[in-house]
Amino acid sequence: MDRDQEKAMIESCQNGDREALEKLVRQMQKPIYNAAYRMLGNPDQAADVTQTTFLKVFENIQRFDQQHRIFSWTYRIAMNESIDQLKRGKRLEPLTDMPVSETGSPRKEAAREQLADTVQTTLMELGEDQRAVMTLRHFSDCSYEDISRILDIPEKTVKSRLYSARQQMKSRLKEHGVFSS
Amino acid sequence: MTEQREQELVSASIDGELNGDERIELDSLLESSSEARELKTELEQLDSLLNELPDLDPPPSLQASIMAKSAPRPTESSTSALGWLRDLVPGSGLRYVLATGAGALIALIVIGGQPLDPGPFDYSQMVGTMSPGAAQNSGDVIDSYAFSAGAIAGQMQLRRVGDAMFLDIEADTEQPMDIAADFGNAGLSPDLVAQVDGRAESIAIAGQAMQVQTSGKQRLTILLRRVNDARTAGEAEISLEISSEGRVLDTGVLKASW
Repeated sequence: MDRDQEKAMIESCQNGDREALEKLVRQMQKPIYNAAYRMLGNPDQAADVTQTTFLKVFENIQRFDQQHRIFSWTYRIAMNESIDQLKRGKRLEPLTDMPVSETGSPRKEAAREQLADTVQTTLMELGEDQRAVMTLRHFSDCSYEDISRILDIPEKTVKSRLYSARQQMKSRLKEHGVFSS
Repeated sequence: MTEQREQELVSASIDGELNGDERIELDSLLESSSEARELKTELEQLDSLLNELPDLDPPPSLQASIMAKSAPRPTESSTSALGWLRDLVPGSGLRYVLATGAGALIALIVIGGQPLDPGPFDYSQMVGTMSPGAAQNSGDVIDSYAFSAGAIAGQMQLRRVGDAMFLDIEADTEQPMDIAADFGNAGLSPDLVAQVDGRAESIAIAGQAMQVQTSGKQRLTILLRRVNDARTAGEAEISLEISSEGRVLDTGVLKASW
């Protein structure tokens, strides 16, 4: 969706057009759900956060300033909600029944799921701040500038957090035997 | 060049954030420093590993659940006026019916104003009184779905009666429960809701999605109208989601073959 189409859709949302709101959810629910999942490591909690995020977007859409991008604003709400959820200390369930989009042969699929679990476990071992930058960079494909805007931190901080998060992940993944030196 | 600068350059190359001058600076660094080359290889490996992780699909009924939860709630004064529902489903006729159980008979309270187009199956007889047996026991059972999570349990059953389908819901819960159903992929739309036993806290219909909030024992029958033929030739799916206090407890599907 280009900038003009996005502006038109937001205007419709601001005018209470429920079809436009539904379109917004349809377009953004998957990336938001994925970002929340990477932050929380739990599919049910990721669904909760996604739902709360969109309800907050709807509630505050009148105040949204079109000078900003809707995805940055929505991600920001989602990341804050995820961090709040973590701070509320809800117990994390084991990483099972992860909903995966693509399927392959059973053996390949099992190996892939195991790898995905290990990487997600490693991600969960990072601090929230580091996990947030890793999630936005690697799973939401955000630029340094986007991440800086979403998390409201300087770009320099984005870079340093990414660097330290990657170093920590490399080291943990080596311990798990996933990553070669 | 400082170690920090080296790290910045290598990281930025992985992230596609280098400008022209920085690219030249990095090339020179990689030529002269084995540590920088090793760092770049490791970061590329990590990047590739993370890129291999599949995207996850959100629960199928998440969108319907969000839309239903965001719908304006009916209030004592607004239910009779139907204003919120007209906003929700522009241009629709009667879309919302509540019924309260009264012994063997069910009194249906019609909250809409316009007459229904009965279509191939004449369900206009549902408005008035009917027996619970007629509401929940006739026709062929096409599919069923049971759910159980902690203090919440129940089942749903999809029935076909002639050219109409009915979704029966039975739930027994000690805590508030939300049931979200998305009929969009099944080419169906909820038209009439009869509360056979118990009374839901709210029932909202938005397009081809529906959300019921309830607690305690509850029996509902929902008449589903065919709204398009897109999926009616084969099997089509109704997506279901059971949640409580904002937490998704279970999801499921009912296959709606005609």
